[in-house]
Amino acid sequence: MRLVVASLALIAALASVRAAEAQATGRPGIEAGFRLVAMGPIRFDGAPANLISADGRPYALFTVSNSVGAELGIEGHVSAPLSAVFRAEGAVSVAQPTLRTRVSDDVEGADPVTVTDRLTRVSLEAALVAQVHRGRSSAWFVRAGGGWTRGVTSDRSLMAKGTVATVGSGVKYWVRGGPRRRGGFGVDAEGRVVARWQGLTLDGVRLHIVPAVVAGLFFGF
Amino acid sequence: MNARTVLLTAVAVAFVAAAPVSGYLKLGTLVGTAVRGLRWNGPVRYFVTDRDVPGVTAPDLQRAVARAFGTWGSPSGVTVQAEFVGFTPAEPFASEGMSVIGFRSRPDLERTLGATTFTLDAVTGDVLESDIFLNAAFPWSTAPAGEAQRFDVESIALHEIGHLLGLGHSALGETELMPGGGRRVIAKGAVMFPIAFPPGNARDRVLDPDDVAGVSDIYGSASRDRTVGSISGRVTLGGRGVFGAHLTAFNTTTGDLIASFALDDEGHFVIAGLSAGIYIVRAEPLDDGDIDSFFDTQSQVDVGFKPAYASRLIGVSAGSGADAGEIKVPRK
Repeated sequence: MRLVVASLALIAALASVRAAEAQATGRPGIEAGFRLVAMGPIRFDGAPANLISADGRPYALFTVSNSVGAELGIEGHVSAPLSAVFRAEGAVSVAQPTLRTRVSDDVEGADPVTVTDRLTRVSLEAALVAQVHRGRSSAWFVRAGGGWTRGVTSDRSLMAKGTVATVGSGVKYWVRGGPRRRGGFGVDAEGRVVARWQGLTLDGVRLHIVPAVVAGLFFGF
Repeated sequence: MNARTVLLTAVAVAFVAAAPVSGYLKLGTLVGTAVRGLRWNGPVRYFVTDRDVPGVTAPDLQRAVARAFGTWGSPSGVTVQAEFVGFTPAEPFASEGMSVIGFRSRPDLERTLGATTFTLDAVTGDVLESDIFLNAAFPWSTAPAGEAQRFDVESIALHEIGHLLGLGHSALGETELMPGGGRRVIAKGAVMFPIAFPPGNARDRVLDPDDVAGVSDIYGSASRDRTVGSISGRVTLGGRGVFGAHLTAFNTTTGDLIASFALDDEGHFVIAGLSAGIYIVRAEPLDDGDIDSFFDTQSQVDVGFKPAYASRLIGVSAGSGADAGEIKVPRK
């Protein structure tokens, strides 16, 4: 985590130096930056804690209600132009969502309790970004990507890998420079749908789909 | 019985509606100053009695017993070997040097469907012989889906063979007291729960995750050990350890329930045989039946507390252990 933050700080520092001397015209160049990613919360069913009665019906030892709390992660990204419209992007993100389970209806009257664990989730993703409408200092874009995700429990006793896919759309605004020029810097905002396959979950469902809102800074080189 | 042998009676009684409960405890014997777990180091070579009882012929019994042995050997990475030697006129519990499985009529044991005994080498702890009897005072059946008003031979044989292999009782179940005495099972999560389902029920022909964890602990391969993990921790009441607290680990993804006990005065416990996943751990008193179904009469099992849960979710990965920390239970 510290390494990622340090890397992002370095990217930002380099970018600000380069941005000051940039403003070259011509084809867009490499861009890098970071974003804050807000997701969830989501609720989902879990497996029932059932014994089996003589007639074959389930008999609940207790019931559970699961959720993943809203999470705020950070994402660093680098992209390069493939054409006037398309860019290839690589991104790494880190988040620490909280798995939360409400345990209630204990068959022997135990007090209801909420048990939690904070995960650390790291994702690596490759994406294709298409700037579908470019103005003088702004551009609308759509983004689709996929990659790999790894979740670890707080005590590092359990790690699980999974895959992730995202689609999103948003806008980039150049504070300095523009979508048709190299260099400059600006802000971007995006709405995403994130699909996670496997990884650490509290239920037997392998696919979870989560909405996300993303906003950040980018720097051109 | 001679000077080198000791008869370990009865640990393995399937009660019709009598005493109750324990998660998976293993059977063992004192060899010198150390307790040695009961384990067969080669195939179980067994005889089946050659007498029919109403509804069940001797070959029916033999086939049901063979299926039950096969069921215990079916979990991945578990090696349980058994060999049917032949039919015999010998009685179970006769201590004639053969392991005999069969019916005996014991109407005096009005709540006992079956029981298992062992003859052990007192010096080495090796199993010399183990017999299982099914109480012919009850009506029995080997019908494929069970038969109304009759107890299922394969289900009860599966439970008793679990004892023969070294497993104690599981406490994964709920019971209620009956007006005339004894207990009735409401629901359970293990074949090794000490109280059987009522007649006509054949659900106990299939092992539950708790049973698989138990047999794996004794007969599992090293490769299986690398695929499962464990949770350890401590149960306390007012700062003191709780001996005999019953612990249940619930896999939030699969729904598996696997149990164990706090087995020292500090309240330490280990729940083993867990597949990788995120678990909820629950501690409860062993108050659903007679404690001596699980622990010897000298054990000071504390049941004066309410159930409680570990304060956090616990991740378990294959081949390693996780720490649940201290589970503080409130006084009842």
